[in-house]
Amino acid sequence: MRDHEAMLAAFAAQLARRGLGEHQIAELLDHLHCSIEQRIDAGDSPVVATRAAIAAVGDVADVTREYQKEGLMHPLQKLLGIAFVFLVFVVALNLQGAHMTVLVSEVAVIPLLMITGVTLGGLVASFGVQRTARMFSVSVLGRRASLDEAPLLLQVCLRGQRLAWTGCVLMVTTSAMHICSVLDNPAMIGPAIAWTLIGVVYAALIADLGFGSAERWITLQAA
Amino acid sequence: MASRKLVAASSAPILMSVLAAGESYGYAIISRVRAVSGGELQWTEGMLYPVLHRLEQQGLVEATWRTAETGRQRRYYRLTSAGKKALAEERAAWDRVHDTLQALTPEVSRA
Repeated sequence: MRDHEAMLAAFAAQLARRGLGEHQIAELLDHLHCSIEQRIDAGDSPVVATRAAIAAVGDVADVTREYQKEGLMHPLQKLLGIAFVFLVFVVALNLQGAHMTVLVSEVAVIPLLMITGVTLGGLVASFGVQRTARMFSVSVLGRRASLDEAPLLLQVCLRGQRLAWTGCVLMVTTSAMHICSVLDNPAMIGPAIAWTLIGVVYAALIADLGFGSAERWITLQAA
Repeated sequence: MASRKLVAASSAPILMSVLAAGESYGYAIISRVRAVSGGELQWTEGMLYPVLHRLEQQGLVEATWRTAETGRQRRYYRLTSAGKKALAEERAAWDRVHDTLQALTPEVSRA
């Protein structure tokens, strides 16, 4: 393979590794061929022309990030995905013999309240009501974030992720203390362990599917 | 030279304006914009295609793969009727910005 063809093949491989589809790469390669032909007509060698054409296309990371916006999912669609995950969780519980009311029982609601309470309380204490509400309106309702406010909103998302896990740690600690206090009553141990496990699931959903998705949405919008 | 933000904000209406003159493909669109702007609008070439694809998702342009005269497969873009309407609205908005700037410029010069 000639040098300039090898350069094109390497560029295409880089794009493929970053997740671009066959048609997207084919279109960019056609663009590169046009650009290379024009540069060769102007007197460049094939290698120099190929190098210049690839440089003009731009940094691979920037280009692929721009392409990722194509598949950008609206937050409401994302919420639908979260609801689906929740549904699978309910079905799995039912298959294991647990009744789905366990999810709305005191066992499940208390850890949820603890984690959301720590998360929202921490966000309001750190950023105030207005900025916290703005992050939710951008990431949940799909409002457009301006370039100027995006860095702050991203900070809110990252803090939200950390706070969700902090809430989880507090909930697990509380639960462990509760288990220790009821060791002489085996009937109380099962619900306490269920509380802990369900709380970890809620923390994962809130931190990754919730704030993680919001962070990706704002990053790609502002990029 | 136009700033990066201005280039990004104007990319969709400029692409639609080029396509209003007839069907075209990526490289030809960039060459046309470069020629008309005298090199003042410098696009990162790889950024053009995602913008075209978004316009396609919005139904403002439609695209077809065909074999070009070089024998390579090439994607051609064409403005839809919704695209023509959107372009007219964009042009009106940009004209308002331009007119406002024009009207304010003498005041800025005097200040």
